[in-house]
Amino acid sequence: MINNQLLGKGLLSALLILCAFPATADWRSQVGQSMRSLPSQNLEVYVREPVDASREGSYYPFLRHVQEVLIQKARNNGYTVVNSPTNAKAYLETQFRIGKQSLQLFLSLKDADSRNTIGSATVELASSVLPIDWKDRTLKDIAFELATKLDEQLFGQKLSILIDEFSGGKEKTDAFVSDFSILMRGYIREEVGSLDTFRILIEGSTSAQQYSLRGHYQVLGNEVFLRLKVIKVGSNHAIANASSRFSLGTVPSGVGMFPPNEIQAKESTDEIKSDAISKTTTQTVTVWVNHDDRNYRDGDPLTVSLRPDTDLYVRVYYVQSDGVICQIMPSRSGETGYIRKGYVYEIGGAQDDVELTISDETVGQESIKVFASHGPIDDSNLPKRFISGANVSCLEDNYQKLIETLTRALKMKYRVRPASEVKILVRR
Amino acid sequence: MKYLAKGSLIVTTMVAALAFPPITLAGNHDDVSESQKPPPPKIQTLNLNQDELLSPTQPNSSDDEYLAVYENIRSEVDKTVSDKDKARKDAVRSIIVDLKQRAFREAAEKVNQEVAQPMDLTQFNQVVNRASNNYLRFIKEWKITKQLVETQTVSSSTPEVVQVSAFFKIDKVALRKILISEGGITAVAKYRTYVELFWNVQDKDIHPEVIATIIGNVEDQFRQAGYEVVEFEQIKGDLVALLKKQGKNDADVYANDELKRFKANLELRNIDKSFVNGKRILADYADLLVGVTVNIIEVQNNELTVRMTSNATLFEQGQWLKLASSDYGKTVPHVRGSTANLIAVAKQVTLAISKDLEPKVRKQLGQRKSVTKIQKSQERDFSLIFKGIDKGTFNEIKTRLSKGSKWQFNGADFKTRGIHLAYEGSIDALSDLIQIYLEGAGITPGIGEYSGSRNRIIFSND
Repeated sequence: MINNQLLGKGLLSALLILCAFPATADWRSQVGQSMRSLPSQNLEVYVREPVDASREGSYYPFLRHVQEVLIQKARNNGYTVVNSPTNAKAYLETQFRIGKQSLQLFLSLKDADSRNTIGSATVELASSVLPIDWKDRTLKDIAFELATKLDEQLFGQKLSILIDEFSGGKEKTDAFVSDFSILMRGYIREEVGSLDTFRILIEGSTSAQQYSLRGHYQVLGNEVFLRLKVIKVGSNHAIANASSRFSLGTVPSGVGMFPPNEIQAKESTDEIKSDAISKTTTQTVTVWVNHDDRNYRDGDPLTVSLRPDTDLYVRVYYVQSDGVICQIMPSRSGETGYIRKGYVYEIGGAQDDVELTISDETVGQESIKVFASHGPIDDSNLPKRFISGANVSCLEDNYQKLIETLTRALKMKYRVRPASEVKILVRR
Repeated sequence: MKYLAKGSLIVTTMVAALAFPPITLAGNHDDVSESQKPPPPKIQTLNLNQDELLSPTQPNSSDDEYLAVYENIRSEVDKTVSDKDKARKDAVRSIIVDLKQRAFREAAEKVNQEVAQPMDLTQFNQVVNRASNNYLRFIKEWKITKQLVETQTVSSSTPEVVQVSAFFKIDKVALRKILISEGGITAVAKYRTYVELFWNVQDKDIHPEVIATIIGNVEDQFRQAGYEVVEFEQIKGDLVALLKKQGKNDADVYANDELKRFKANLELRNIDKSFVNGKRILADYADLLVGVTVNIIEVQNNELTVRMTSNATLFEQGQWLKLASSDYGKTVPHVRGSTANLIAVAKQVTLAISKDLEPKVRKQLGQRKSVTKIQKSQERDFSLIFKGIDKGTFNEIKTRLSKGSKWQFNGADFKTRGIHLAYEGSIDALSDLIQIYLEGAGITPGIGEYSGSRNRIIFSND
């Protein structure tokens, strides 16, 4: 009975392996054979993770299985496999190159002290002997790759970091939020957060925010180019940047690359001269919303929080996906919008006389734009209509008109820009 | 001198300190026939003088003396020498010379153990040999307590053997002085050692665990080598007070945010960087500064490299002097996200630079002339500041203090009205002593103000 059970279990696990990687036996034995050409001696070896030989430095999850096999075959070859490089006498290094129809592995056994090569081997595994999904990558894998690249540049540090805006489009200067940007922002947050180098700050956290992580994507034909930057707050100096290029096919169907209101959203975009990821704001006031993922659905309450770095006069506008702009602070006529350093102001919160609830009458990218001035803002020339039931004033003109009026009101020579902005995505 | 019959042991005394009864060699009882068997032992009560039994055969050891006792040390007599008396005398002399050497070594090791200081083995052996050759300075008393010769029958080819028991009483104080002054032992415990950490990597906020590992391991290496390591936490209160005095904000030092607090404390512990006249302030807390600089922590081409340099500076006679430096780096494969791997490498590099630096520091300290002047094993450098006094009075104070016998005068600084001296004892005792000494000479320096954790006394009449 026991034997039958064991046999049953053995068969089951064998079947599972075959299902996951139908052609595994073949490629594994080829890796083992190449390993046998390395010097066979009693060595304490650390088996390194295979790395992409191309400049892209891409991550393929299948190479994790390759590393497992390398460890197993190294043991078969008489090596003692150690878990830490600091305890090893030699390193088994593997570089890989992804071909159209094959996977090439370049193995080299190196002395830990001198780094001289003790032995090397090359193996080319044809696609036909590899599992069908060996080249597959998911968006999570892309996030893993990008987080790894950032970590390598910043390794050995401990950085308090805020996951800032992820946006993009077809152009370098596009800054749309979409299903894709929201999804990717979440994955990156998860991967970066799992690394010891980073301490992810919650939006609105009172901890000193030193760095922010921004993401920008560009759709180039059938490919997506995703770039991340870690920026030092205050100096706006990028201390690390990483990028990955991947096929549009990696993006699951149903995940939109652009907001449904792309044209309307473009109208309320502030002019960006260089590229969207490097755009600078005056950062005199920090603004955040109650959903950390910036993703809203019908009926979700919205709370906008403001924390000024100095005493300021502000105007806060909510730009709907259909282009309608409503002033949400100050909400009453006659109020100056004066906010003081050291306080957090909530719009739509329990203490506010305005309640903000997301409705799916308008879907797509919507944004909260904060304009700030050290002196009072005279916007009496701005045509507005007060909506008494909602306790807000909505503008009768579009975003470009708003900018022109504010520029005049503030007697600025150049077009004013928001001091701070948060884009959200409203979905059905 | 007395001789007994051949074939038996001869007992003789050279110094006649103690006499022992002759010992007869016991025969093999199995070969003795029944008729020859000795009668059964007779039991009788002994009535010995109790005080006599307890009285020691050699003097006791003390804190200042080392007593080396050797029992029944044997040596063969050279049978090729025709003059038997001379041959026996030579054998005994050879034993005594060896024992004297042994006693010196044991005493020196004991001294070293007591001061718990690192030693340069070659230098140590040389000093011990020199002291041993110059034994009259160090041996307070010595005696041969027993000397025997085991003679053989004329036909026997077995050589005669002399057997000696002796003791040596060695002056540990004198031996300690020569061991320290001649560099056999470097008295490092008197150096209060402070570790600072810097990094040459711009725009990098090094991981707190890595910093803690580096500082902890350097401190540990020096502590194990006998140095008195100044704990940051013990002087933090003073430093915060100083920070406030200089108009700086101390809020981050106690911030709730762990990372913010760590950074503020790290900045604070780098005293010479954090304060105006930082080096001078640092001298109030430490005599020896070990600075560790992280030059590289980076991942390039999937390889993790850690490189550090360390240097030691000594505060002596009012200034910081560079003693030694060390540099080491290591490159290992990078393991994604593994702080443990980084810490392991940082630890290896830290240990390597510390192990290289410490002996260099010790050697430098041992060679410094000022060390030879120091007569007391645990002296400390102190600064005395005489506030609000004129040049003439300060000159008089300087002249008086330079003649004092309770301390070692190390120098004066007219600009700051400062006197530097070395003193064995607590800061409060020194403050009182100086005040009484100067008042006795008709100078009123005022009451000394000091903090227990510092080595500066400010005398003022305010």
